[in-house]
Amino acid sequence: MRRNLKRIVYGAFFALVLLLPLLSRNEYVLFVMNKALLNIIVVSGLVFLTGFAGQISLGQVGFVAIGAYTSALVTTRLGMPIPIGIVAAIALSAIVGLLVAIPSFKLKAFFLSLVTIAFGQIIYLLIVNLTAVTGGSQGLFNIPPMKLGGTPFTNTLYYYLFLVLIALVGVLMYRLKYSYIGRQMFAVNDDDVAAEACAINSKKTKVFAFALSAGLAGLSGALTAHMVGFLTPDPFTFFDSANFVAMAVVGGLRQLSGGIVGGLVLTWLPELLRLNISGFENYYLLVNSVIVMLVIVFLPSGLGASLFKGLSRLWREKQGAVTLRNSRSKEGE
Amino acid sequence: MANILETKALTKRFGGIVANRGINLAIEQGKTTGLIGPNGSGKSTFINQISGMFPPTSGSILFEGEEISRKPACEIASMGIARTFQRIQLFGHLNVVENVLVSRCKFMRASALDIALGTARVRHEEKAQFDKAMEFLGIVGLDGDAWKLPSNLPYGKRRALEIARALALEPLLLLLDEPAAGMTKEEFVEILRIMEILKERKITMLLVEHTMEFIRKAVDRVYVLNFGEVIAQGSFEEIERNKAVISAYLGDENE
Repeated sequence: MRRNLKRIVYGAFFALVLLLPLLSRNEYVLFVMNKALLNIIVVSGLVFLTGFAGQISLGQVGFVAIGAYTSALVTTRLGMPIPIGIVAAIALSAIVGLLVAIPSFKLKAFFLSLVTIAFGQIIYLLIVNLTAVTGGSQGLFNIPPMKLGGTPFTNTLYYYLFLVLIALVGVLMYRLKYSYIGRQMFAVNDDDVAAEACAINSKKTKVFAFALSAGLAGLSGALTAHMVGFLTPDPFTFFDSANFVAMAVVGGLRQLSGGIVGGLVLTWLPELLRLNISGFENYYLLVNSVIVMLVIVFLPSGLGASLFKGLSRLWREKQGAVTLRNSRSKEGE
Repeated sequence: MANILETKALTKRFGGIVANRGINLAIEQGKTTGLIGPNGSGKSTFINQISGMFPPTSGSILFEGEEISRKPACEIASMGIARTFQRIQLFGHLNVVENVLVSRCKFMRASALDIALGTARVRHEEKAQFDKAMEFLGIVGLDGDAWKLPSNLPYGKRRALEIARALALEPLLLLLDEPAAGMTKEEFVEILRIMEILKERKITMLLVEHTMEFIRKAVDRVYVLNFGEVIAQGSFEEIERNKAVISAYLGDENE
């Protein structure tokens, strides 16, 4: 009975996700949904970096920007096909991620967050000032859209493509979390001195986490570039980095679901507030921020964590461990 | 028998303070070596140097004949030196068996790609190491608490868990930094029992301790530190009668 309930709830959720483009013919809804999916990819990386490995990044949008401009330039200036642009974007972002990891060997929390803010700022200033390459604040135009049989992708096609990619990212993150690599991340997060004493190379662990999260941010940036068709420096400010962190915290830093819940909620919330509160248009970001504060104060482990806690109570599952699967925990009891 | 670890003129300065001064110490294979001394005499500094937490100012540390004084902590642990901490340092968000599994990472051979693809190798390895971790918990009598969080364990069991985690590295040398500190009578008896098991298993240990009763029962040879220097060494009986040691601990009558 309980198991059936679980199946019904999850089944209904997946059906809704899969059928959304059929249920809503509204292009605006799909476009915002696509933005949410792109945010989910970035925030999932942040959950891995900050929630699992314990390394804060307040400059994550820098990696998104590197991915976006790399794929845009590779496809426009070099005339390469889009898949190559995307792979180049992921690779370059991940490599820069390796470098940004180096300060994390010595610096913790507050100091590391300052370094990453500086990194984000450097990338932003490079985009604005390297006019010959990036188009500066004028922007970069005519970035080719993805195509299927010669016709450009519709929002619906982008939606399904992003869903597939998120599923792949989700499987990757899930497997990493429930493996010794995930265990190393959590160990370094809890106590890096003790982790070193357990033969774990904390530097390598941090580098891996930074590179992975940077690669995911780069992927999201590249996809954004091709979906939107043009790039300006506007969406790559410190505010955007802080917003990604807010999404991760609101969703739940320590859960894989955190990226999904946080990305969805905080992409939709400002849109809904903007449209639905009449005469209040100028204050929707203020209301948005107040809601974020309330969630962080009252549900510090995040909406995703609270949601899953409620659900697992519904089908009476015990949460046994962080890096071991549930089936194993029952076996051990 | 051969010495597994030797330090030669090992010195550590913190600014103007000399925490360890020219320490020559040898740890014999299969034996338990004790390191005692008053508070602030440099015992923890010594352990922190051997385990790679602090790089020495000068001198050398030879582990199985190899110089390790400039190696990072994780490499030293990987070579076979495990340790516990004076103030217990467990992974608070991981449960008991996961804490021990952290030490088993060095035995994992699956690559990140194997994990991404979810190959059978990964599943077999995870299962095998899980069983191993449960075995190590069994040694210290914690197999019944595998799914609890460390914060839900009583103090004595947390100590035992830290020892199990160190053992799970299958170390050649185990450094125990005040394992009996702050324990109740019952917990003390339990930690002595664990020490007996470790001795039966012929595990080479360096034991830093305050409690004389514990040292008496546990060690084969003792070094005494005072103000960062070795002031005496020998069997416990010899040390007990040594004038310099008595004056370091109790103060000199003529002072």
